[in-house]
Amino acid sequence: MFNFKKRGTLLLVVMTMVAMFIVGCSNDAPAGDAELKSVVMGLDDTFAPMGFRDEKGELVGFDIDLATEVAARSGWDLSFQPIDWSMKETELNAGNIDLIWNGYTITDERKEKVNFSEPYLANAQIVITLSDSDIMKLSDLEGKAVATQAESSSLDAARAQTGLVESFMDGELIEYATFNEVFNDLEAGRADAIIVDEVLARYYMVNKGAEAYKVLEEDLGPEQFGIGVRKDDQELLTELDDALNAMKDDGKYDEIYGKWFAK
Amino acid sequence: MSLIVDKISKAFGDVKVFEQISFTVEPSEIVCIKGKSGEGKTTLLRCMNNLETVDSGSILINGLDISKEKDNSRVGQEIGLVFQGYNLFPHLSVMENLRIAPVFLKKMTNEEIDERARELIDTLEINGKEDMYPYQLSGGQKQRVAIARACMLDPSVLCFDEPTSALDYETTKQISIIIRRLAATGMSIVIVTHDEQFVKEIAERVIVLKDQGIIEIDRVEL
Amino acid sequence: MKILNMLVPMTIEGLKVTLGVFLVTLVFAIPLAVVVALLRRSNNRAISGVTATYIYIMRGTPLLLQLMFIFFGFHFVPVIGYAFSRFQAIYIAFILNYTAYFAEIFRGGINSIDLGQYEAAKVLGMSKPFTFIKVILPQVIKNVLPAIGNEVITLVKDTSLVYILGASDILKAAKSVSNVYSAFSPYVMIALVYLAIVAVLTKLLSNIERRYNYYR
Repeated sequence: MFNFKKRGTLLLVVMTMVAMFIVGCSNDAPAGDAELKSVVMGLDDTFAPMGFRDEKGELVGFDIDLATEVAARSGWDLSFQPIDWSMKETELNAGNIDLIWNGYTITDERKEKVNFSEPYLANAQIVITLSDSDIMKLSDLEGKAVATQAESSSLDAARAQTGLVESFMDGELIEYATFNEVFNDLEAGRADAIIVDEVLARYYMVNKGAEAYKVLEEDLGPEQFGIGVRKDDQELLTELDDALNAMKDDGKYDEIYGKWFAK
Repeated sequence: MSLIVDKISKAFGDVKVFEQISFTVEPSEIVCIKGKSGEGKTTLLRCMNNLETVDSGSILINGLDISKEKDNSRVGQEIGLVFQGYNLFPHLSVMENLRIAPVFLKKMTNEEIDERARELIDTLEINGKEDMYPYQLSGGQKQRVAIARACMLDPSVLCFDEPTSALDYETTKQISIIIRRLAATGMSIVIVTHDEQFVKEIAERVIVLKDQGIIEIDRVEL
Repeated sequence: MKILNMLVPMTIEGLKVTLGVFLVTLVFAIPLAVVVALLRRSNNRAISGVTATYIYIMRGTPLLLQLMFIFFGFHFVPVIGYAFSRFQAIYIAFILNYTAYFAEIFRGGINSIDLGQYEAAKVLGMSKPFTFIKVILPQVIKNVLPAIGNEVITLVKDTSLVYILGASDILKAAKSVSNVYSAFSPYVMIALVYLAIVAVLTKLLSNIERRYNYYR
């Protein structure tokens, strides 16, 4: 009875050591050049097209490219730290990351917790239906099932319009954890319309074939993406804005924009 | 004298079980302890085996005062107990049950342990069952394994708690034979029982517990 | 297809995290749980009280919250003021949490052992530690195997909570691929991976249970 226990225990111990080794090696912060300023950028690495992993598992995205360019110009040793999006301000203020840069919408509430860079991308909250829908205007949404992403600026924008959410079916917005689920609901016919980030939506619709959808003319307000920095990190903010402005002036920004948002 | 019980008293809270009782048991003697339920026979047995402590008095076995002895292993080598429910270790085979205590005590070599085990298996007539597990044994067989296990440490005194309560008439006769065999080797035997037939069968002396005291009766000649 | 091409390598990377957390937690939590169970049963009121409080806190708060507290909250604790790394926090939270659950299972198992076993051992002169290891514990293990197996399988699923600290397990791999291709199927595939893992575990656990059935 005890022989297999001994073998089993040994196997377990070996497997654990291997596991710890592998996992421990998949790092928190990689080594860097001691002369450059070490900057850690926090992002949700599943957020296409701003910062996400491609088919090879490499980190790519509009924000990634912008950040890499800024780092080169500012003499930063930039590293990327995947975080959970709901914890982003906590991670920043705990010092685990120095930048929140991942399609981060500038809002007044967030300004209380972090400092923002200059806006670097325009966004809007748009309403999308299937192309054969007879919903044309915001007022057509009355009594309809409308879905959006939980804890998002889409949600906030919808709520900000007085009386809007109350006019929906059951007086509420259907909320989902992820963007894909929101689109899924529309395609499944459960939701008559959805409220989403324009930037994300355009990426999604390109993937799926834009003909299937219709974007309402009226939107729920323009937004801007910014980069979040700790309140006391003035130096980093200055370097960031300087580099971004330079990129906007000398065309580098347009080049990167064209790569990701070709219309 | 193997066993000297000297003026022991035991109470549970306010309830006195026995007070200032004394008796002795000689080597090879078979003594039965009788008494009505609740008169304290099992408590007495448990005190003798250090499963309970006495409030006063001493219990001496071959000179060792086990009532004051903290070291279990010393007590276990002087006195053994066959429980009413046997309490065999279910996850160990018969042989493993026999070997576990001597292996722990490290007083005998492996060969000596095996030899003693063989002898006891013969004496107790449980040959062929060494690799079986308790759940595979009958009640009578389990009892004999329990006896063998207790005897592995070669105690001077062997106690039995109601050994016939689960046995039929035939098996009771068999157990009597085995107990006599053990007594013949010099062991003192103390049996707690309320089985009158069994007492008549086997007792050389009878001790009755009554009213927190003792009445000793020598065996009535048949 | 493209989705699989991206999903497979990411899943393999994610498995290192999923299985790593799983194994580390088990290897530490199970032995620790036996110790905690004994402490919980201690006659010393201070010891059993402190242990009971620890168990209460660990079972009374979501593992997700515990992960957050240990990683984000710990450097606010005075004196210690140390910030754990992500994986340190993950291991610590998981081990503390699962030790508590396992400990209660073991405690129940130990309680269910007949007093007669302890008494027989005592009368045979065996010491308390020896009795516990050679007589009590083997019987406890047989008794608690189904309950332990249950928790082990729950643990596999709980590993997905590491997302809160940004770690990349297999569920996150599904999310990544899903977002790139705007598809739901990666989630379905990862569900199959979880099922496969649990299938293997279930078989293993039933094998172990069968081995312990050599006696009843």
